[in-house]
Amino acid sequence: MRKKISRRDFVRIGTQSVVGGIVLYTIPALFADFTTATANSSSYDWEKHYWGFVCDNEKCIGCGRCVVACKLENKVPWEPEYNRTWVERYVITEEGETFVDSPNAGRDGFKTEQPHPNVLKSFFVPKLCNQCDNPPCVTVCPVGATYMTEDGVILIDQEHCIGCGYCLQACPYGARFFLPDKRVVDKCNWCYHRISKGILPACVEACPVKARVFGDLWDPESPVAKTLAAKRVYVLKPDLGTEPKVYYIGFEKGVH
Amino acid sequence: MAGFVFPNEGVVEWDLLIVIYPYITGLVAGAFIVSSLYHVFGLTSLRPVARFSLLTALSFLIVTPMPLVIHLGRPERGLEMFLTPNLNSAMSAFGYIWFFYLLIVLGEVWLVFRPDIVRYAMATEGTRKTIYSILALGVDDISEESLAIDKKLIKILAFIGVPAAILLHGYVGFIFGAVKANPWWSTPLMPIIFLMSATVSGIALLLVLYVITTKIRHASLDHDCLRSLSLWLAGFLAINVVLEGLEVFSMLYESEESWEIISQLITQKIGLSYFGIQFISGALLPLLVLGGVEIIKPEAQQKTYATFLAATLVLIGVFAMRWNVVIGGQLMSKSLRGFISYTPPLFGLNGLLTASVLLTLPFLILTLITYLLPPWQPDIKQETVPRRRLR
Amino acid sequence: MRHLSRASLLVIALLLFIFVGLRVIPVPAALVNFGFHQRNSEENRQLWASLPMQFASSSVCVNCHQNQYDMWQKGNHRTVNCENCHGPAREHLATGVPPVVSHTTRELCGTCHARLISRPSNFTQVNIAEMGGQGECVTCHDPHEPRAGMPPQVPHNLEGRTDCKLCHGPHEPWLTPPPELPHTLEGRTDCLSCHGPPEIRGATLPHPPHSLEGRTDCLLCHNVGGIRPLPEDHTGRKSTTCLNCHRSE
Repeated sequence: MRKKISRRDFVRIGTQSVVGGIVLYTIPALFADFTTATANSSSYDWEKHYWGFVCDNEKCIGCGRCVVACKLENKVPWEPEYNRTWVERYVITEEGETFVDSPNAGRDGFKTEQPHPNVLKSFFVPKLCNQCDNPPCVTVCPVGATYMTEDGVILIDQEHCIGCGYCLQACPYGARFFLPDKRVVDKCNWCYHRISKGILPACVEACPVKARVFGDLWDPESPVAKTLAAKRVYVLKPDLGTEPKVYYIGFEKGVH
Repeated sequence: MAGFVFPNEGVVEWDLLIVIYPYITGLVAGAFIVSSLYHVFGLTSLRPVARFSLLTALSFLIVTPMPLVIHLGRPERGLEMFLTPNLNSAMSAFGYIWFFYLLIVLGEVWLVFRPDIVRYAMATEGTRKTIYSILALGVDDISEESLAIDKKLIKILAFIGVPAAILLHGYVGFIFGAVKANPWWSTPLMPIIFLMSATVSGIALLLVLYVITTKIRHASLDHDCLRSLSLWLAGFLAINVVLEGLEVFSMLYESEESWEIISQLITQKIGLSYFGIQFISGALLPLLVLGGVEIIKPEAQQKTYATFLAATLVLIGVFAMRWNVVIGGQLMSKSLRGFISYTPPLFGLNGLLTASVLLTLPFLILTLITYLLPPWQPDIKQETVPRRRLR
Repeated sequence: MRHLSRASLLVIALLLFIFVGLRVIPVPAALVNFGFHQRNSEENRQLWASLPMQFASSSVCVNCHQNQYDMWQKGNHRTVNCENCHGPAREHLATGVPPVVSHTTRELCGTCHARLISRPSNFTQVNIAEMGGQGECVTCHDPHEPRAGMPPQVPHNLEGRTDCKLCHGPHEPWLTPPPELPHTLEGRTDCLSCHGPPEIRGATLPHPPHSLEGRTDCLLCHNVGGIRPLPEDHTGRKSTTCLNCHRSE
């Protein structure tokens, strides 16, 4: 008889503790959600915007002022290994070979030509976080430290990030990097502190040839919406299904 | 650095510590499967190592999370993986699966060794008595009735343990296989390959440890057991080689955009560790040796040496496989246009020294546990051979 | 079976400690951050949104620097924002310390205007090492309007045109006259030494994609409101001038 009771006890206590644990665990979290949600009373309505970005490879002159502006605006380490945005140079030769480089991530501009003769064509490609609609980095973060906001920007809670590096592996675009001093991950957030005040991202402000266009995809009058309506665009690595929100004008095979 | 890599890609973020993490996990899963072959599937020839394999699994399981936590940028926040998990993440489940599995292995070890623990608790004095009494949770009931229930529970735990072991390690493969950004990782075969190589490495480890510990104890080898281990090793190894070959062959055959860089990776960047260590010395050579031993049937001594050598080569080969997956995948730029290079540092938190300490730790734990709970004596109940003397 | 119930109690106690105990016992917040994932995302979003800006924008600079702003606004550099060369305004606004253009101007100008094969061909590029000797660019070019004080550039393609005076003679009457020279030609033999080189754009402007046979009035189709209207910056162009730049083939 004792055996039966102890087994029943085992099941009962076990079930109670698990259910109790989940309840106890959930309720404070729900309250916390509720309080933070009601406490939010900013004038910016993030549910009324959905941001988008266009890079025009045909206009970019490779001056790298965007990289400089980004580093200064966002206090990104000055070293070329840490970049929220960078510029790549493509050289395609008449033999059909493609050479790419990005000296110092384009921060200091491009001082010299690539040493390849018989250039068929050549151009610059600005890169930054694509703020994907289907972001692999958000999917893989084990603690949910990186997330997508209502207005379509992927942010990182650096107070919560454990620095496992899984999102670096998951990002197909190399947009993420480790902050050397904080030991957490950082990346471009389209200057969230600027766009949420109605001001353009620093790189867009800095571009002297309007190769970077930023705006609200939901506003048909925004520069981005107008550009997207007028031009044929492509996105990087569309086969991966990440649905980037950085669109490129000037498609070329081999630009990933 | 060769070719073009994205500016943020200068360093290999998942370094040596992340190489030894799946290696250790694989050893756990493999060792546990060996013990289950006896406990669940009734392979009596493996009885001499059944209890030992359980302790091996436990020792390695305890160390498993250490390389991960040390590797975190913010190790002090490591517990958040438990407390605020993102259930979409392939990684967040690790803590839970590991913990669940730890409970199963601990439970099984405890139930298997309980009669011994109780007997030690009664037979010893002083500190040892205290330790064994605590381990026995203060209950000295080893009546026929209670042992029969224990036996049933052991069977149940071992039964749950098999899928759990498969889950634990197949899941480690999934962490890599689910990264679509990395063409060298992104294949649905990855969990299966990890699982097979885990089983292979676990069996090889037990074989090696069995031979060594028998030498240390001056006991005689059970050649039936050794042969059984080597046959299982050869079997799983054959499946493993085929799968690993299939993975790359299908990449070659489909010849997607990424094939060009992958072919450069395996022929130039990791050529030696991939073809040389993983395939030739880590798989084909051991298969030849194990097969040769079966066909030629040399005398016992030579047979033992040959099998031991083959198992050692397999252990090295599986480590190379982990290296080739983890490091190899990160050597390629996601621009598919170039490579970075990686040499592990000697010192530092992520260096060779830490890695070797982490790889030695399970053996120290194993020594301690086998000292407390000698696994070699046969069960009292099924005592058919005379008890061997422990030192 | 007492040993089993004790063991299960131990396991349950452990689970309770991990999932309940850790929430109840005060643990330093820095050590663990409780709650489901993304619970703090709203707070964190506000944190990101509240970060200070370093770059103001040219519309802020105008508040004090009206003259430079006006000149810049009309010039060819009107798309280059003030802070692009002068640096972020935040510190300047806070402390009044004058902003410094940190590079030597030849290097700074070269980041945009040094000739590179990768740059779009219609963007102004010069051989930065040789252009105008070795001095600073700003001795000749006002950075706020680089063409200020410079002679006007030839507005059309020079292909096949060798003698400027053929059209731009000082006195000859013309039906649709090209601009007359505003100065005497005495002592000046090579017009292009001042008025050129023409922008490279001439070579890359779109060619008429159709035959011109029987079509004499471009503006019939290409006028504002027509089938293919002129670009905005083409106001004031006449049918007779189109072919100066847009040539067949």
